[in-house]
Amino acid sequence: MTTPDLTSPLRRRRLARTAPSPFTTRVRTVTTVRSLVIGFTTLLVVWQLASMVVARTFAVPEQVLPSIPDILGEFKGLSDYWKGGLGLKAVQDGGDQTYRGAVLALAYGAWTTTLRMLAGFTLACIVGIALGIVIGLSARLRRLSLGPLALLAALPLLAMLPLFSFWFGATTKAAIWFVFYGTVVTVVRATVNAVDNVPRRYTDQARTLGATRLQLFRRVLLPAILPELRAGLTLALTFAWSMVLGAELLGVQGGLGAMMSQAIEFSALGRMVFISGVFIILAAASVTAFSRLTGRLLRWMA
Amino acid sequence: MTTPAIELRDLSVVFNGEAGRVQALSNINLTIDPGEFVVLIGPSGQGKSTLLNVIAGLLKPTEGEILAHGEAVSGPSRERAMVFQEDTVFPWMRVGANVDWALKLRGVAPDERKALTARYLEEVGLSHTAGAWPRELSGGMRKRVSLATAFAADPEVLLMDEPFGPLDFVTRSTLHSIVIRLWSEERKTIVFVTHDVDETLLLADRVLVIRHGEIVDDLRLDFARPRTDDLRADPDAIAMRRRLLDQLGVVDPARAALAR
Repeated sequence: MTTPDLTSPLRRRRLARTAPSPFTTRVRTVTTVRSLVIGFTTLLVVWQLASMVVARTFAVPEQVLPSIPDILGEFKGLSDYWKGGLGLKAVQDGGDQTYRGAVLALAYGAWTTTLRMLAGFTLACIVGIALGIVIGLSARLRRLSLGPLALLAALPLLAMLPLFSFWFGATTKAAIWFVFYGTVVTVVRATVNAVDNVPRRYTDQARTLGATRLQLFRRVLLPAILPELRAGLTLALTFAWSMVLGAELLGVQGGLGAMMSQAIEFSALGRMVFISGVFIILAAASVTAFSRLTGRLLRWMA
Repeated sequence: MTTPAIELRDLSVVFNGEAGRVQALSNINLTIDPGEFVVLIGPSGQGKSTLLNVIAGLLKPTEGEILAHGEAVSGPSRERAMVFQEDTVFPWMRVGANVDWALKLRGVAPDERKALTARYLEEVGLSHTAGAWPRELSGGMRKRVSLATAFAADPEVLLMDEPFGPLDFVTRSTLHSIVIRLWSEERKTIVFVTHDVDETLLLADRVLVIRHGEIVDDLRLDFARPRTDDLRADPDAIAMRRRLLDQLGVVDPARAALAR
């Protein structure tokens, strides 16, 4: 019998390609730094070209599509949103507009928004995965939960926001619970499906080897649901960003969304662009980070 | 008198599927002695795998009882480890870890597990793959990992459900000799399901023919071991092969013409 040389990377890759995966879902959502740079550059170029066209057709082009230099010029204005501190007086208290203030305002907003998103998302993951496993393991619970879950998923999320403001006020708490609410259903459904899709042969094999329920859970169920779970969680993560931004846009104080809401009020297009830019970078970076983090757990699939 | 390894009494299995009531097994009575190599053969879909799953404890019989070494079977156990038809090597554990887990579940102390894992992998000729992921192995190699895992579980009875079905001839021959060697070294009871007559002649002490959910024939094969491919030329083996093929419902057109 020939024995393949498993040390050669080429051979390993070839074997990997021919070996069938026991799972139908394979996650390939790794965002590389290069693809981000390419995407960002393309966006800038298209924007600038469009603004040049707009400048020839409209009377007040800077209110429709300002050019890139105009936008860059508005950066300093973001310091209006700095609430003061770190030896820098807030603009509303008579301080000057400074680049340092602008950077501080953006960074603080990004920090606030990220923390709210992470808190809500983490909570949704913990509750959602636990609930999903419990439901997924019981055929009866699965049938019972089908309707309620579909209903919850169909509710227009943003329309629910006033309810959260009513319960928690325009506070961080409201934002966190709103993110939780907006993502937990996705996490539960992904987990239920993942548990349901664990091939029976793996649990049978473990049982005939004498595995206890706990051993079955830890060494078979958890690793087996991971690939599908990862796809669902990535989706929930992007939802979480939309939810936190929505909450801040619609009343919750602080964070990038609240800054955005003020910029919209004053039709400050340049400021809106910067805020969106930071937001997009954060969201993309979080997906990449999540993908890297979970990728280590899924080395066996690669 | 020794306690039988497996004893089935008045065993019946009925499935209530979408197609209605299906009688998968009816009134099976069977005693398997310790150390026997029993082959269950029969056309597909007529109860072989169901019977094996019942013995494993993975499927509850509708009626009747199962005793393993005199004790009633209520669920799966390490004493009745199984090699499945499908690929059941856990892809998230490295090859060595798959074997190691079986040892751990058997209660082997951690410091002894490493040497034992190496030994079982060596038995199936896979020492060099301990650190590899299962996906890096071919189907035949993964089957050998399954074998190593099953023997590492050290069961009293080893159940094998068409384990080598989809493999090529050469790989199957290798695996047959590995099974026979491990069986004769460790004196396990083996219950092996197949629909392959040649595989049966090569492996079995005793053949049970299953058709329509019933045991229709119970034969002893006394051919000397080690059996080789030359068995095909043995007149007794040819007669036995003929008989089994008839049982499976294989009709040789030329022979049918002669009979007429």
